[in-house]
Amino acid sequence: MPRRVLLIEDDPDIQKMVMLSLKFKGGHEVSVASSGQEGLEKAAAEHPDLILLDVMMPEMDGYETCRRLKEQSSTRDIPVVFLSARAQQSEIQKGKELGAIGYLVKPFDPMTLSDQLEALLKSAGNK
Amino acid sequence: MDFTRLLREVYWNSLDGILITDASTSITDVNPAYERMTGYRRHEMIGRKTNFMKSGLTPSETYQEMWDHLNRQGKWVGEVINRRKDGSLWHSYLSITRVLDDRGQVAAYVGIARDITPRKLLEEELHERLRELEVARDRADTAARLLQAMLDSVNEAIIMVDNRGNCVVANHLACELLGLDMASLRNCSLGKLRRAASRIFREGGAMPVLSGRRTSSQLLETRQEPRRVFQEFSAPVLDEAQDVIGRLYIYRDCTLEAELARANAEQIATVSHELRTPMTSVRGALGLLLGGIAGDLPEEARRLLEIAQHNADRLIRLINDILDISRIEAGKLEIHREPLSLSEAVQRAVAELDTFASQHGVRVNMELAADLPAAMADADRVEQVLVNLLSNAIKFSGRGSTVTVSMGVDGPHVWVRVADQGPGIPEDQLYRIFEKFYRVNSGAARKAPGTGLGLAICKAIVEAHGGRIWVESEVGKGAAFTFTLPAVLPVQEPA
Repeated sequence: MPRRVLLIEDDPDIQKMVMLSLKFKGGHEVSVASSGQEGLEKAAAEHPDLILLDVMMPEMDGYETCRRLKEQSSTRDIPVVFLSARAQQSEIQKGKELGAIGYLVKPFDPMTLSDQLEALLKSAGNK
Repeated sequence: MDFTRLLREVYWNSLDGILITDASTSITDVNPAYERMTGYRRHEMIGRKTNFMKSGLTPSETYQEMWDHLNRQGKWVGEVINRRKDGSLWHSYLSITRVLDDRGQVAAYVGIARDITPRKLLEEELHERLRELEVARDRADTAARLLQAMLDSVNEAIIMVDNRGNCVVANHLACELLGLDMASLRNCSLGKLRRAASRIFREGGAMPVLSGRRTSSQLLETRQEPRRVFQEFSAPVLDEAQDVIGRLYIYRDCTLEAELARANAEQIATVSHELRTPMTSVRGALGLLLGGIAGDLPEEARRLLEIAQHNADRLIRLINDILDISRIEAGKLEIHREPLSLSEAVQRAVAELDTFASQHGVRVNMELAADLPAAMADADRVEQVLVNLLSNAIKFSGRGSTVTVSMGVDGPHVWVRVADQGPGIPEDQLYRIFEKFYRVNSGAARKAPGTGLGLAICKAIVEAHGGRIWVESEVGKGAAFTFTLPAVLPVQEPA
């Protein structure tokens, strides 16, 4: 089932990669925000089915963005999946404690990204 | 009774020695007690000058004083050291009285001697003991001063409490750290010390009250800015008989190290991000192209893209290995222990390498043990070790050969063994196999791709769990890698 995904990621190449990957496998519609602040605004305005959130971004990092998303009543219920190059167990744990439903580690396989997101949504009971 | 007879009785039976000389100090008579004291018989002494018994050890001033007194006052009391007939020395407490005749001329000298040799020996021994005590006290004072100087010269705050919980040793850094002067710190109770420590450190639980031989180590941060980080170490103090006589608390200022470790960890995270981000794009683009995003590809193009993807994967593995090694060396390897079924971990690792094994034409045989106790381990890290050992075993085994994974329990540990039928490792290289970047120098090893970091990482992971890893191999007969992990053993019910 195609979904509306909001990608919050500052690297333009990865933005394109995720957009192509999710469109190609799953036919998802991907909206992009290049910073945490822009992500918060788009999340509130577009209310996507899922937010894919990078961790290391300038100004507002992914953890802070997630914390604010979960603070706002309009964005609180949107499932968040971290997509990060930081793969330490403590960071994965931190992401989960902030209310994310999953933590995917870069580099990811673009051919299975869609399936992985579906699996996370399913296990979070959001299907 | 006749007085003369009375005097005679006293003279003969006195316990003190009595010696009578004429005016020229020639002996005219001695009593039996004096014979006993000197060892000379009466007839051996009569007629001889008294100085034949001199030992030469009595100071000449004593004799000078003796004659001064006798000439002026007619009596003298003092101590002299004489020599007995057998050559031994005896101390005499001597009282001499000058006897004058009717004309006032010296008629005789009467000496009454008491053998005080035993008392003198006791006194000498006492003096000797006192001297020894003084030396020992000086030594103890010097040792205490040296110990205090040494304690004050080290960079750690040190406090020792005795078994009653009173501070018995402390150095200046301890005073500085706890804000107490040395006099207040000494004899301070552990409770008071703990209250002082809780005012200094943010974390509760500084200076833990531990019994017996338990040791503890923890990091503590000061409340006051700028924050300082201390490593607290607590251990029992044992005497020569290995009995606990107190407890030591040592505080090492590791603010700089903590900052460096933080900076290092941050650096690792940044490098990790900087390396993974471009690789995500490279790997992703190749994956999408090979996945058909741009439609069917010409055969040549597909083959070239597959080579690029294969090498991108190699590069990612290398980046991951280097980051793991950096974390290990920075002491940042995270281990999250929980009960782990080794059978399940092995099955997951084997499933992950299923395609890899098929590509190499190698069969993986699992000898699982159903009733094995769980390991207390980090599932992801153990799987990393298993995948590493299995992929090595598959890589080095020839087509049609079998890799066997077996497991068991040995005392408080569970073990897993990965055995291959590959070319084996030369004996002279076995001991270097777990070194970083070490690659076995043989034809088969040179052909197989790898970073030379995998086994070093495996060793660090296993050892971080409190386990052990080793290899057994013989050239031509394959290699077997075994590692152990702490087992979760059932709690023994008290009998």
